[in-house]
Amino acid sequence: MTIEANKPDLPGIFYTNDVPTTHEVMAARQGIPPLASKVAELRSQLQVLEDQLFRHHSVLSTSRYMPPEILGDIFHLAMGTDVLTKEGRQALIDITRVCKKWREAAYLTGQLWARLHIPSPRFAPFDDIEKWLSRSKGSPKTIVFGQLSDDDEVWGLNPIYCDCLAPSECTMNTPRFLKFLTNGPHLHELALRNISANCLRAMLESTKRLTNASDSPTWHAWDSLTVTFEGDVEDNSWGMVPLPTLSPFFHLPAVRSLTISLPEQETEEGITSAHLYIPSSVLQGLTFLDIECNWDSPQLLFSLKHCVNLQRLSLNFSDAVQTWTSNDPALSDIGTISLSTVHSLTVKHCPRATASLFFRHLHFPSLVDLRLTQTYYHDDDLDEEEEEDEEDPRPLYNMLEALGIFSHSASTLQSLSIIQDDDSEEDTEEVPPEDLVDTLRSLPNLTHLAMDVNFDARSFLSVAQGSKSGVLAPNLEHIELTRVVDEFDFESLFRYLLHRKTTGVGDKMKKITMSVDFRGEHPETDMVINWGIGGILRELRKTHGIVIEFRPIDM
Amino acid sequence: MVLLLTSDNEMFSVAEDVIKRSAYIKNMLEDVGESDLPIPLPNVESNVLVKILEYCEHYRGEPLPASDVDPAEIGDRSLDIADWDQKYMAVDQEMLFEIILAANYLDIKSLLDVGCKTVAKMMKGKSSEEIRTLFNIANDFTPEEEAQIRKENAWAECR
Repeated sequence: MTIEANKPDLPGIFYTNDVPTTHEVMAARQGIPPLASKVAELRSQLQVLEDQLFRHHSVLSTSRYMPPEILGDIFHLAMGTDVLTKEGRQALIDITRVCKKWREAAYLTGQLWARLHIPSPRFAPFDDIEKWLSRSKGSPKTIVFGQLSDDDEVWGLNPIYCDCLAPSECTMNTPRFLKFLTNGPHLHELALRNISANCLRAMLESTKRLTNASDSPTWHAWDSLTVTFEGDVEDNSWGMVPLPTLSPFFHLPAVRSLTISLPEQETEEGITSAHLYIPSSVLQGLTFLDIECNWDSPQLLFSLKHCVNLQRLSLNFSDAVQTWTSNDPALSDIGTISLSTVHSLTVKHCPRATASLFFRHLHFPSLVDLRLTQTYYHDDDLDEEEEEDEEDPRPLYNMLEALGIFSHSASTLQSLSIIQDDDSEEDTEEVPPEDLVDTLRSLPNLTHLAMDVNFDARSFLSVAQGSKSGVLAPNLEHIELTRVVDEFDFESLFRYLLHRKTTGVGDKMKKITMSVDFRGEHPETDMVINWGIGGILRELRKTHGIVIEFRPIDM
Repeated sequence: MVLLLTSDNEMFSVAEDVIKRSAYIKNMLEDVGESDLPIPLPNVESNVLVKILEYCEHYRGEPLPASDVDPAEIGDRSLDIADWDQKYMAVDQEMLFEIILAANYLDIKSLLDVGCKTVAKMMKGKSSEEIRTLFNIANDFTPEEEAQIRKENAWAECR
């Protein structure tokens, strides 16, 4: 097909901007329809040709050779591991709409379909949800009900709780929801966010009643339950009467993993009158417990006393300074609780005074992994001047001491993670070099250190080199710096590694991972040029076999 | 040294500690023992093997991942890719998929993982139409089938 680019017999008016004559206007009007029709026809042909060209390219595309299991793995990576919100579900459906092969691969990959976020159980389409979850086949299933975050819009409808005072009044626990929980697919993990104490109590009671009444004893409780409560202790009419039967957890079935964020207590209230009761039979079966609680009370200790099979424990004190005393008569029964099966402990937002008070009753003789999330170096209640006066030269060391790590867990601890408080006003907090040196010196069996706080590498090198007690933490194999600041002195850190290799007998350092906030595409190249560290990097890598990785910071 | 024969009949002589990153070759060497015969790689072309060897050479000396750990089974996998790996994967799309297929065939899990992450990052946030265009994939659904998929999942997209 050929088209003449410049039709020679077209009148001159078409090549000027002169005012047309009546005849020329008529000629133009008559000429438009056939031309428009021709253009439309050619456009249509172009579309067909482009489609054919695309299909020819498509035949040659290597993507056709991808086996379904690799496609499934790619989809899994693209979807991430969070529960699927509306947007996530849309993204997964988009994958199934690409072509038949992709849809089959997505259907074969069970874990893609196993995690759902449903804003409210009250109006949820459970038939559709069960159909969706059936695609997950044997993969462990997770459902989260309620808001994922404070700014999460919940369909513009009500949050998941209601204002019920008795189970019969509860509007959250619809018959269809309860049927889903008791007769639907087995859920590995159930999370209820921003629920009220009464709604939870009603749900657990109804679930227990329905499963006990059921002829088929095949119901299995969830392996993992996560509950966060709406509002504060007052809003929840939380059990002010210390009667176990009134506790929202009274009917809790045996689960292996329990995550609870208790309703907040107003900080000025002093010792709390709210009562926490979790059946001891449930506590005994737990292998993981995560509790967020700012109550001024030793009550958590009473629960921990029963946790004889716990392997991982996470405690978040929400920065509450507790004022109860060890003279509390209830504590005479407690004494010291040895959590001998706990190998991983996470402590979040725990003021040192609270740590001293609480952890003097706890021993972790098998502790391997400790994670601390704190605001270390400034106190929100102090103004700048006071803060300088109050400055603690060894905040990290003293915190670990308050947790009893050096007295009871120093010989077993292998991994220490120091994580900055997300709400910290500082961009990146800084550990004093002497503090870090003293801490490492006291943890002889540490093999892994992860920090997202900064430290002055030059001073650290100087203090470490001057240390008379030999190489610090001589078993250290892997250091992770997860938030390296722009002005960080890499050369001093690398010189410290060289110092360890040349002075330490059998130094075990193998890997350094650093997350850097570099805008370029290739942070390592930029870094080597900017800091002139190519030589020392090569020496550490080639001569001493240390793996040194630079990663873009996870913003 | 280990001899490798590619599908286009090119012979490569490779240091054993370099190519042992491939669990397939490692197992073969352990099973067969020392041999002067080349190992045929009927699923790998020479230009792809050159690229694979570049990866193995770069990670020479680093501990091999445990053979029983399948990256797909690891719970929390971010899309983070190390700086060198990102540069290594900056290839045309055909080569990217060839690397993934070869890494799968040769059983180099870390390379397969980086390849899959690269593709996952490319498709993340894209609509089905954009993904088709990106990877030259033909739409083989009939309009009726498309309507059926839309109907089946209508609840999931609006709630």
